[in-house]
Amino acid sequence: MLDHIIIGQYVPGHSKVHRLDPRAKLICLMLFMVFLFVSRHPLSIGVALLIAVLAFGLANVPLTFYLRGMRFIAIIIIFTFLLHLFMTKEGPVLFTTPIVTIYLGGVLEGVLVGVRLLLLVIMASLLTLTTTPVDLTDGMESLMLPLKKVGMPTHELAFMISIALRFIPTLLEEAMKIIKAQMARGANFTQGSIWKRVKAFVPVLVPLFVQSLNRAEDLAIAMESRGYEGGEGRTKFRILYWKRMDTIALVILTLYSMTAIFTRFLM
Amino acid sequence: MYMEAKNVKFTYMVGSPFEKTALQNINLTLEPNSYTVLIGHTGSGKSTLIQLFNGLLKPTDGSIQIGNREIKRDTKQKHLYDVRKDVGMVFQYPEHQLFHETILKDVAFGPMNFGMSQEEAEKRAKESLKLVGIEEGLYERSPFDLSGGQMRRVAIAGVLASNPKTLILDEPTAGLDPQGKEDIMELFYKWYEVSEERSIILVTHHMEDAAKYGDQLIVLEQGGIHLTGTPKEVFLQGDRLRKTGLSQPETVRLLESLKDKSKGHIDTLKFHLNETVDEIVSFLRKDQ
Repeated sequence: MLDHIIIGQYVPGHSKVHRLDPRAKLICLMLFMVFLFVSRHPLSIGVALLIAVLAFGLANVPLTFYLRGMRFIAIIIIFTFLLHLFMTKEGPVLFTTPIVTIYLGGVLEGVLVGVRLLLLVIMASLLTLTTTPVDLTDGMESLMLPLKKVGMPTHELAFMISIALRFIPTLLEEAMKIIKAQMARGANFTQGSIWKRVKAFVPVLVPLFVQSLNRAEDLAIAMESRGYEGGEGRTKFRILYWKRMDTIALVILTLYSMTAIFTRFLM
Repeated sequence: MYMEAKNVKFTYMVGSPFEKTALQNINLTLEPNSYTVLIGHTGSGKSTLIQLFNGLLKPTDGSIQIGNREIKRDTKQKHLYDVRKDVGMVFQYPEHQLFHETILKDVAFGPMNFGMSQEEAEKRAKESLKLVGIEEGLYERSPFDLSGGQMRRVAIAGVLASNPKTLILDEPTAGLDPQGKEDIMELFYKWYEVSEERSIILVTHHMEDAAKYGDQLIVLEQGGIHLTGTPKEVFLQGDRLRKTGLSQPETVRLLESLKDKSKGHIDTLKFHLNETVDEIVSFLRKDQ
């Protein structure tokens, strides 16, 4: 039931995207996400599409696996598309029905928002699909380093994120176990009204919370008993290396950012 | 209840990079009123098999018959729900499923889901709680106030309260102390003996329990059936068991090494402590 959720899952591999430096991936993703919403010019969106296709092609993540994880996202995207389709009243009228009138502007706006959301989700999940949580945290910590000068607990922040990521699959697995146990006791999650279905999850959420709290405590004790006391003076076992591929990726994304700025402000 | 698996195959996460076949070519028959024990290494497919017998999973190929119902790949959810009425399942660490404010309500959750009235469900809940040895004074307390052992008993009562015909037990004594283990296993046997309609399927790593309680043993290995038979038939084949990383019960191992050393005439297939002692005593007498 829950095994279609791919957020935070890592698919092992040795593709070009897998081997990129996590810092490069993080910066590229940030640039991509920001500039995706800067320009609505077809050229800029086209370049973004191209980058997504390229990244996706290089990453070698099986398409079927990806599509299944997208099912839930697809609902959100279709919903926003329809909302824009019906709510935007610009441009020439395409056709009229007694209930709604569809304008060309609505279609364009809907497609634009849909494509943007899709690209956003594809690229964001590509990051976690091709980067181990450990690499991701190392990357984040290293990127946040300048903030340490102003007193931000960067190590702790990065560590928290990595713990959260690390436990997503564990929590899912546990939720699945509890769901099964309650189903064996006759709980029904797939029938009845929405309210009934929501209520059916109480017997899952309560044990899940109880176990999460217990686990958090166990984890804290386990870390303390192994001498963990934060980032002060901690050395790294894994050292990140910036390679030529990383520079190339960054250059591509910088070119994209420039395209976005150019089409937005200078055209 | 009569159960049968016909050419069952099961694959996890079909069509993803994590695709994994857990079971293959499984053919099994479980007679009514039988006590079946599944043994096998971690990852041999035991947990998958029992979930198929409870309608929590559907076979990727082949079919499962439970009573007069049949489960195939395209069986509807509604149909599976009916199966669960007759087949109860005690999961590993069942205390992880407790959630209600009071113990009584938690135990009554199952019967109420299966369509009993509140009154009837509470009556059933009280009966089950009594069977597992939880005092009446605790009924209105929160299940989270209990000790680990008591929580496990409450959770087991929660499964028994639905009055299943077949009870599936997935390592029900994991993490308990020796006395607690024996108490729980005896409790299940007591439940099993009450009616001729009742069957048990037990998953365990404990060879002593397998020998003591089972009347049919099934040894799984890498998703297939490696050995099957009565405890005596299975535990006679020590070498084949050891090949899969399993062992014989302690009593059998003791008698076998005695037999090896003395070259005497010893019946090694004794599973109970008293039988074993008798066998050793009679051997010693003969020797003198």
